[in-house]
Amino acid sequence: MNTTRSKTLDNLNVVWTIASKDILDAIRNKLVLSLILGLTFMLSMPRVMSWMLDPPYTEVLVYDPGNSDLVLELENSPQFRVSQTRSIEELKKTIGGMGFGLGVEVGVVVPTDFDPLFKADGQPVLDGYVSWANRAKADEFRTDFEQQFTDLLGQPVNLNFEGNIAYPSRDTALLLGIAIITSVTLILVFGIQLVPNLLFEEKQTKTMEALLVSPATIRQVVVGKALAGLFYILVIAGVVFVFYSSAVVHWGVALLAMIGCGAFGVAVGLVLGSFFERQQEVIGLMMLLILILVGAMFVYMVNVQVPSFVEAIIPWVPSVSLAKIIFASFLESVHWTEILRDLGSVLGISLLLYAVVIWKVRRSDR
Amino acid sequence: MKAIKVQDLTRDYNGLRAVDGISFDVEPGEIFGFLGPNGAGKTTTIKMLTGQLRPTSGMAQVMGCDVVDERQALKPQIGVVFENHNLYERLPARDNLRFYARLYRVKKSRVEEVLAHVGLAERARDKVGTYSNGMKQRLLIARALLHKPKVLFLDEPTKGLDPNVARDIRSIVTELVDQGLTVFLTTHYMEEADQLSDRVAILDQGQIVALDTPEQLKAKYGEDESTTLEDIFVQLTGRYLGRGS
Repeated sequence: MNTTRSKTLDNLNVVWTIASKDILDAIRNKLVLSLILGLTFMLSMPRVMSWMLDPPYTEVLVYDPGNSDLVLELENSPQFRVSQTRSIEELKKTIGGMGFGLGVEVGVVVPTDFDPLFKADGQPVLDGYVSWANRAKADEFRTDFEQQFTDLLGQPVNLNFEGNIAYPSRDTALLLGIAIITSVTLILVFGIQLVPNLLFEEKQTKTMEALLVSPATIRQVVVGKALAGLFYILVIAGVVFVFYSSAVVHWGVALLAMIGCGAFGVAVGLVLGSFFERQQEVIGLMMLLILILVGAMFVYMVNVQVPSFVEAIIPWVPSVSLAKIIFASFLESVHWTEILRDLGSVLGISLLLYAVVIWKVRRSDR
Repeated sequence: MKAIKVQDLTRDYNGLRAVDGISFDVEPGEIFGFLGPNGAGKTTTIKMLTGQLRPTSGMAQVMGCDVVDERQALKPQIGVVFENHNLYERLPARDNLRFYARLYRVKKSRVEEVLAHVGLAERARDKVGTYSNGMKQRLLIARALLHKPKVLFLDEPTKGLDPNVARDIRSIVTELVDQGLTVFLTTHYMEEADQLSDRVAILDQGQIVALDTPEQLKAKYGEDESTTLEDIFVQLTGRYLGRGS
């Protein structure tokens, strides 16, 4: 019993020693800092562009079943750009998919008795809607829109945002779709590039030989590198999720997505790292792989028409399953069966890849 | 018990025989010189003896540990100084050694001991990338000695070093042997092999073509007293290769 415990501790010591060397090295050499800064820059670009191209009008989505004068006034004002929906559900769906300072952020439902109430010098109350991602800005929107409507109509108008949170739906969340494709792409691209590099570096500098005559076994080296790789991927996934944190409804699901991304990214990285000797040998293969993973996700999320056999394969591509899990973390209700099925498929494929790595590693001294 | 015991050790690479049925023993506390031209199979033999490469056939034991079946038990018994300077250049020398000290579960104080032993204590905080070749070689020796191995494998330890540094390295090796360590040495420098080795094996095309003390080899193959080990090496390997001496 004690021997088993001691062997396990020895194993853990070796694995952690190898992993922590790479993790500390990445921190000391500012790789982690560069990753965080680079990702923040990339993720901020759309928002920065939106600020730079800030239009001179306010966009507002309106559902106006009573054809009120308010909407006519809004449409005639250069201050506003109005889009109308045919139902309150459509308004909620559209608003629900918005966030991150992009696109129309506020939806307004005009009551059917708005005109008579307004003409009778009453203070009509409009229901205002914001997305879950913008919920923290509801008060700011309320003050701003009340002021603008009052200025436009010359009489006080009240807006009520209380409890009016719209969630994204599967078919209208374009911005979230882009956010999801970006997230999975960034996590996988960085993971697939960084993880094999940990092995390539040891091979190219021949430090792998020194490691293998030390008490470390090749399996422990691979597991240590996998842990260090997982650290990189979790840093990347962490930055991505912090950036989109306002849109996350279910953090538990987001955590599962991170685990899935980590398991798959590390597995692919290890396969590349164990079959090849240097980065230059795998650049072409990496690009092809990334193209397939991102392409499949794009086809799925944007609903591109593809031949039926491709359509049958697409849902099983790990990047698509990961995108679906991330998407689920943004939705109002959680469908655990679907999430677990997608996570199971990602982990299953990752396990297969780990098996390939173990097979390759076992043959390394032959 | 022999420090190293090798019987009919063979290794094939893609149908080519790199090491061809070699047999020899190394006594504890001995410096065993393993000489041969490029491609003779020296590094392949070291890789098999240190458990990095599986032999195609034959048997090898180091300090009684079979190099295939008891690889993990073998590791604490051996230290290896590789031909290439395989160190983490971005890390300071001390951190390089501390990393391996953790793998070997050796106390941190031992790191300071070996650094002092090879004369690097004052530069221990510097990154290895800033080191000269001689300093890197000393650090490699320090790394190989961290866990107090019984057998030290030195693969071309003075290759590319200036004469003064090479002499320092040789004196470190002699000191270690005086302390009871067994050394398995490969080198291209015949004078070095002659000076350091108790016995030498000359390897050519994967086979041992001569094995004895340098004095006995000179007596056996030399024409007169001025014959050097290098003459013998050229005579044996050249004749064997059909190039003539």
